[in-house]
Amino acid sequence: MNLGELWKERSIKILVLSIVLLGLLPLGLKGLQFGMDFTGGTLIQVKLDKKLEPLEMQTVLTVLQTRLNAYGLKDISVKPAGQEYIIVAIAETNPQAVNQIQSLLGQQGKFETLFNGNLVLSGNDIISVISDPQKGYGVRGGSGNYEWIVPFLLTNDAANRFAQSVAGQCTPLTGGEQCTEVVYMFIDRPENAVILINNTLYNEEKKIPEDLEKSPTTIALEDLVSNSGAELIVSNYLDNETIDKIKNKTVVIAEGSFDATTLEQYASKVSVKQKSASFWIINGLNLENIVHLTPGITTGNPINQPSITGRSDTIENAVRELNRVTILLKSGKLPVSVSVGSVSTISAALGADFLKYSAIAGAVAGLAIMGIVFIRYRNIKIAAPIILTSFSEVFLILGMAALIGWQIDLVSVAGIIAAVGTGIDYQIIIIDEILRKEQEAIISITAKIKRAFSIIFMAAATIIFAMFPLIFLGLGTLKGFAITTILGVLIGLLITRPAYATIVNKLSAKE
Amino acid sequence: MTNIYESKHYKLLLILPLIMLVVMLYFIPQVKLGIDLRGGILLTAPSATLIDAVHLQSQISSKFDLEDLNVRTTSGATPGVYIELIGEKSLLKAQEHLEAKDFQQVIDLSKKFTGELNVSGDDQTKADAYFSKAREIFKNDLVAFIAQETGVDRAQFSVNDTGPSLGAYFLNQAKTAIIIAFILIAILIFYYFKVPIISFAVMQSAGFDALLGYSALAMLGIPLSLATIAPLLMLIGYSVDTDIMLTDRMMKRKEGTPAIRADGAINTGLTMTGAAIAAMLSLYMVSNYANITVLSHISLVLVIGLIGDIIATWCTNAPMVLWYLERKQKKVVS
Repeated sequence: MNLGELWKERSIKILVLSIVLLGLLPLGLKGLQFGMDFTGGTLIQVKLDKKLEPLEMQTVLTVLQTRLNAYGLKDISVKPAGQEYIIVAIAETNPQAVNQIQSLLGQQGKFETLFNGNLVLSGNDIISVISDPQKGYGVRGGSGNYEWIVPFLLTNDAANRFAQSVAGQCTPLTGGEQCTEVVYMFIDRPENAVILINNTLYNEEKKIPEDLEKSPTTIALEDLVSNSGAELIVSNYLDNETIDKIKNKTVVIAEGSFDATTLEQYASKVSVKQKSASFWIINGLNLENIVHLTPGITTGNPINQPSITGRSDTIENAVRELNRVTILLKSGKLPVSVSVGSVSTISAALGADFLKYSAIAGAVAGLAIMGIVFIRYRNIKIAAPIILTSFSEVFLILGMAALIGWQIDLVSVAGIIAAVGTGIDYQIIIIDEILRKEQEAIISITAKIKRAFSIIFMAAATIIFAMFPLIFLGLGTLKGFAITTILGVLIGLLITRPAYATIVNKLSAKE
Repeated sequence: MTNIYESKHYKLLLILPLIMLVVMLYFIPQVKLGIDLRGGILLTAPSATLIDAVHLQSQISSKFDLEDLNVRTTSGATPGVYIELIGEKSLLKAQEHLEAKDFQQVIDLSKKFTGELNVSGDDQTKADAYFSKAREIFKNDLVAFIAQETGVDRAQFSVNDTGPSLGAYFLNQAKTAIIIAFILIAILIFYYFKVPIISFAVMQSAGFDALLGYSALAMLGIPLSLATIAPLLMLIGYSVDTDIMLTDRMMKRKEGTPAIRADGAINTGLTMTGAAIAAMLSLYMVSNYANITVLSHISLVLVIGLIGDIIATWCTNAPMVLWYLERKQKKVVS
């Protein structure tokens, strides 16, 4: 048998072409993606209170994604599992961080209002965002001064609590319409934080206008930061004193001011903030609003419907801000209540070990199959094609996985080994069919192979049917098992098995 | 080797699978649900030093009031400690109250962990907040305590925490998957062989293997989890391979007698199953050595199920088809 002769066969051409197009190319260009089992990371299952329609589900997914991004996570995946569950995968493995993320996912958005450094309102107090223009929602104004307003509804409890905490706290300003006292509203205020800025920025932002834009009355930066519960450090470089102060804290820095990687060695978290508003510190603290109390509010009567407002110089910016605040406040009011169902963390070291031993296990399984085939047939001409076919099958499954971006995890490994195992079965059926001594009239090898294939088609169909339900049910990891197994069986049926039959046919025709 | 199917007493072959079935029925109710299907907490951590599991278990029990605590140590390539529990007793009670909507009880029980919490909203919101906070605090305390007792760094712990409701959902989905798979395969096989009794002969093998795999879970103390459902479905697919091959040869070929054809299929069938067993056995040995629980459980269930497949195929399927063909022959003759 020579190779030129083999190449003339269509099934061989398909095999070689597939190995290049579906195996080599995807593996070389896109590379194999490994799941959390091997890379380490955390899988968080979020349970929703009721089944959601696709549109609502999309809202929840977006909100969770937004929150995770806000937390500072990069490598995240948020996917629905059925209509009631969401599976969030993150690369984070630090238990404290995982805990925080867990509560971030299981809780409402972090809206906070502070008065005299005390929390007087939080996201939990918000019943809903009022997105009715009749009730004030929207953007108003013109010619470089746009005001956006997001009113929201408070629970009676919260309205009462708020009224009590500001009752009698009014030193009237001239004119008497407002008090000198102010409340600060934040969405995702940095907690346990140190604001680290250099002298240049400090000098620019020493005084912050009360409307966060250009009002003549100002608040000292120190006061603003301390009112947010954070600590302010003004320094041009990282001295020992600064390093001491940022230990185990969240450090907030301006983009391009300090080196985040250096800070990460000392701080528990580094948050790099851009300057998008008039003043950097507004973003640094995630400050939304500074509101003067009025004598009417401080009488002790509850106010149920406060609002967050802000100003922008363009209508686009105002609308963007309006949407952002609306989304964040609404994210505190997901269409359903959620709870965190399961959290599993795999440390990176363990994952690397798993990968190594999975590869070894695959190799040993291959050797064992080879052994059985040799014991049975005692003929290299029969055994070698079987082994070669199985190798190309594994290669093709991995290539296809790379192509569709499927992440290989532990259960997928079991799926691959199972698929290759059934592949071996079919080759044994083919070879035995050919080797069988017929008592009836001599049948051609091609006819024998055809007969073997009717059994193989049937057997492959049953495996695919057995795996089919797993793809559509929300069973998380088992989906990977089903996909790799079905992929493997299909590759075996359509690509490698016909090629194997051709090779065996040629080999035995020679004898 | 003599052909067992040519003996007049070939029907006696059925005794072996029947005995096995009785043993299996004894074990089937004893299968335990794993953390992911039942809810609970699983902590694993690598440890370079040897940990005394019995001592650790008693230390943890004296500090926390836990339901079904199970501490094991693993050795091999990745030595470590493996701690499994259903939950803390008062929190489990709180969970029951939460389901029964006795919200005040939930809050009272949770306060043991949380103290007073500043939450507002209706009773359900409060109870939810208290309960989830209490769960989180308990989990952190538990990990901190175990970390301190074992000297393993907290960051090294892998924590898997599943709420009971999610577990129930998964279990339900898994049952649905198995039932749908069975129905689909039954339709397919009936379509292929057309004869009900023959289709049954093939299907019983799939059922036998999956049941054997399932009862093996109880025999070996492996919990039924998402990972161990995979091999059960795999067994359904795997086992029919040999059965279709055998039945196809007996039903659709003409040469020799059915008994000779059955005997001829044995070599092919045993090589098929043998190759699969060899592959899974080696997967088991490596993953067991490396403590990759998921893979070792999957492969072990498959090995046992595949051994069962030898019985189901050659002691049940073959005699049934043989008996059917003999009866058909007699009808034609008479």
